[in-house]
Amino acid sequence: MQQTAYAELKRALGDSALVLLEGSAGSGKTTLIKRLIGEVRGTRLTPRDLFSVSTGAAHAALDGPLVRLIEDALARHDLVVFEDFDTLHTILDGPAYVRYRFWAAGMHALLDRIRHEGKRLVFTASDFSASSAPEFDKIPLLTERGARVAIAEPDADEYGFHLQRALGAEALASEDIQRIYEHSPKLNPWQLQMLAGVIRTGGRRDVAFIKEALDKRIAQTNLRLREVEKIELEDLKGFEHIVAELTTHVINPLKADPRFAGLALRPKRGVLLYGPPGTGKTSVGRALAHRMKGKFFLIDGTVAADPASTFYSLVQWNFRQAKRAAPSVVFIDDADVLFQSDRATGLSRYLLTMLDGLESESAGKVAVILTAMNPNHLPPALLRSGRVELWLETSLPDEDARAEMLGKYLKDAPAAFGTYDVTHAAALSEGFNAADIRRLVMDVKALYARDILADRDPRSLGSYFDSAICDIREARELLQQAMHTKLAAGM
Amino acid sequence: MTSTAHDTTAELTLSPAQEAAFRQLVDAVRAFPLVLLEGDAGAGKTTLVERLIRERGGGLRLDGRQILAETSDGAHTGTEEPLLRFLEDSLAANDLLVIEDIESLEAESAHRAYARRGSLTALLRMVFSHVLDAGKTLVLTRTPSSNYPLLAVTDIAQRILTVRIPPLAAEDYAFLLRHEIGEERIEASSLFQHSPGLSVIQLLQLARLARHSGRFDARSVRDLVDTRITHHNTRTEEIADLSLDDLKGFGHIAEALTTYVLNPLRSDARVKGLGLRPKRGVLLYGPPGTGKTSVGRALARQMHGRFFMIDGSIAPDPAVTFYARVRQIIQLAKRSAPCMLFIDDADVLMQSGYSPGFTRYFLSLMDGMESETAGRIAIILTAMNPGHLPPALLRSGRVELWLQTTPPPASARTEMLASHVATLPDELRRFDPMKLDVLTDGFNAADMRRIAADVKALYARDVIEGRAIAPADTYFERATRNVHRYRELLRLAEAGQLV
Repeated sequence: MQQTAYAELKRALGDSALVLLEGSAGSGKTTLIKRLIGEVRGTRLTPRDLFSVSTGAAHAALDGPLVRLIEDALARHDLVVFEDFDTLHTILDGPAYVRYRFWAAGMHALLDRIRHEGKRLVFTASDFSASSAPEFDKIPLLTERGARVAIAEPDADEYGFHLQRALGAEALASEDIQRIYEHSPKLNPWQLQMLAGVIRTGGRRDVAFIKEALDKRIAQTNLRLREVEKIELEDLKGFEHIVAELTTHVINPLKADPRFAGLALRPKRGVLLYGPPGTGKTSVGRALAHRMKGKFFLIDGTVAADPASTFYSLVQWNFRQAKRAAPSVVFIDDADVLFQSDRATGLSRYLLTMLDGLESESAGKVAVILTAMNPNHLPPALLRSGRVELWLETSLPDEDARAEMLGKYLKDAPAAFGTYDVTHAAALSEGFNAADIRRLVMDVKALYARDILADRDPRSLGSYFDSAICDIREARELLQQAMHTKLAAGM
Repeated sequence: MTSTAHDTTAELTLSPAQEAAFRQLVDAVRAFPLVLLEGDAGAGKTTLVERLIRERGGGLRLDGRQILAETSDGAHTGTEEPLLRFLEDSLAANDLLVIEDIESLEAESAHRAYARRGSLTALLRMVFSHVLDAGKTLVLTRTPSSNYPLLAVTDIAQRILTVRIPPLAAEDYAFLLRHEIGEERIEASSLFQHSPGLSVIQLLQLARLARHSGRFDARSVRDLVDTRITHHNTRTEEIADLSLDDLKGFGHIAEALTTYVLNPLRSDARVKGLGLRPKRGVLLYGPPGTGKTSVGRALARQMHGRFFMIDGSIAPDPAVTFYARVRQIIQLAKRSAPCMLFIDDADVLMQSGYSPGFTRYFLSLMDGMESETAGRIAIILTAMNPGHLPPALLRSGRVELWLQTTPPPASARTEMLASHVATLPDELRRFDPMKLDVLTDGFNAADMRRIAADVKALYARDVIEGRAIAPADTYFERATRNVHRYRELLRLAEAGQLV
């Protein structure tokens, strides 16, 4: 890969006075550059060189020293390479930089001059997409006057090359490397180097250990799994059809199973879980999070409370990391509420772009799952676009499902509780959702505890259930009234 | 820095959770020379890196003080240049360099008013390549302020191995308390149930306080935790001493709150196996002056330090500070869980300009994916009109318990008045309660307080001006008329008919 990139770099330098060499962390840009300046009479500069000449300068005066530094180097050399230019670009084209993009003016003049002299300038960058500043395509200087050479992202062979270089040729079997690649196909060479270190010191080389290391040490997610209630997809009562659909259209396609390796399965791009509140949408998310571990990214209301300036960068962060961690899931909880805001227009447009982008990326196996109480509150453009490919409705549990849930929640109750025929409460709780059933059992426990703590003899379990059912019905009634007031008041 | 008394035995002070984190740190440093150690405030990050330095036979630890000293020259010149030089000099002289509290540099660099926004990425990448080229080791420590990893908007997080110090378990509590006190005198398991979120530093502090007081029983220890260790944003000493039982006419509310909130928040051995959790969304609603805030005061008393309050006082802040403060309060609450979060006048607060974000934030807090700690925070909202709460909040069904406060009945009004006038001169207390019941029909608690205050003022004026003292009933009638007039004005103003 480096060979190809090197040839391309040489060709680009033949045509253009300015070349941008892009490659992810650890992809060997410096190696290429060292080889290049050995062949041509050239020199390397880094942000470090800039910092040593900008010492004592005011905060906002990095652009002058930058242009002067490059100019001086070009006076003495035919080729000047400025490395890690993306980090400087983040500052110089940043929203708070007082002389926003001022550097580009100086560079234009400089480029005009060196064109006539036949000299060349190269910038290297590893991560434009991660900076908060605009991406390469939006930097006029580079798009108008520069050529772009990219070092390809590693494939399975490249994984093997990096891991074997660090661990020895015999360390990992090639089918194991293939499985590592399928589990996390978006690692860059830098991360492969970190992974090799973890494998070396971990003392184990089996794929299970390596996958765990990837999920725990290398992956970067924003969800604290220990804060997420442990639920298995199989435990979700009354959700059998949803679990079946999710398994077929999301979970299986995200898996790398040799039995269907040739099928090139892709997950559904957009999945919508919709249904009345309390019918278990978030529970599906919890179960999925435990299944996907480091490959689950959550966008919920906590993002919305951040100031607008970080809101988008956090949303972007999630999508970017999800792509890097692919195959992965982005879970947007309460999407209908999230979209109903001042920032909504921007967000839905962004999401549309993301959903399209996820499709076009060859290895990008990212499934976006949205939950909504009311799909009508989702942006029409999002629904119309057809990017939400799978619609799954969560509904109220029927009597059997209610009985099953009650039984599950009562299973761990203390023996002093006595026995209770759950079918009785199941029959009485017509119209209750999953959250109500859970609440019902907790209320019964609370009523029992109240009597115990007040030194009263506990009543029968049946009578606790009856009064708790009454209370929940009353709360639902009050809710309806409040909603009605709201409607009546035209709010 | 650990206290000098423990320096020689510091390797013994690691609890099981810390020990596990330390082993991971050692492994990580062996695996890759760039490591990030994350842990909450007081989790013992400094202890771990000091031990690492000792075991490796050398190394340098830089804290925020040194960083600040190296980068402040009094002028507004770039701070990155001297900082880079300082870090490179430090690396030249040491094989292992630890930079503590990287989140402070992160905050500065990410601030949107910072002229060189994002410069920490440039700086760290330079330092990282220096470390790799020179065969050195660099450890950063960080107290995460949100769920997002280091420098969420750059790729730095991808270039460094992360080790996280897990939260303490009951056995860590036992270990740390025993270590500080010398023998097992505090029952760790019941303390853990009461306050599962204490940090290493808080536990050691608690042990010292207990030793100092000489009382190690569960109750005294809990009191110490609530009064001296955990944080809260309400000052209990400024809250009127009021218990739920003192609230007249609130029997059903007190009963419901005890059953569904206070009992589940308590850890009582008799109901331990039930796995009780408090109702998360409790709504107290009713007309103004019907005692919603009084219920809050009584709850604050009952909860000691475990009461957090969000009210109108933080609303005037600009949006950025507003959310920062809300987040701060909620983080404190999470660390003090089980506890109570009281949101006064939620209908007004959620109608304010920050409303959409605030509502969504609360939906996630009340029933989001990450519910293990948040589930132990009881959220109590008060509202004059539940219909004014955001529809999304109502629709979500996350308000589980609806408690209505009503204007007090005659008997409760009489009792209120009696307690208000208890300290008045005898002649003023000789009023006819029956007559007053009729006159004050529909009055709320605030109205009754106002009657008492007006009676005193009217009486005092007669005394001061040397006029004849009227019969008690006269003062009460005049005061009641005042309140009637005031209520009528209020009604007109609300209807927009006041000219």
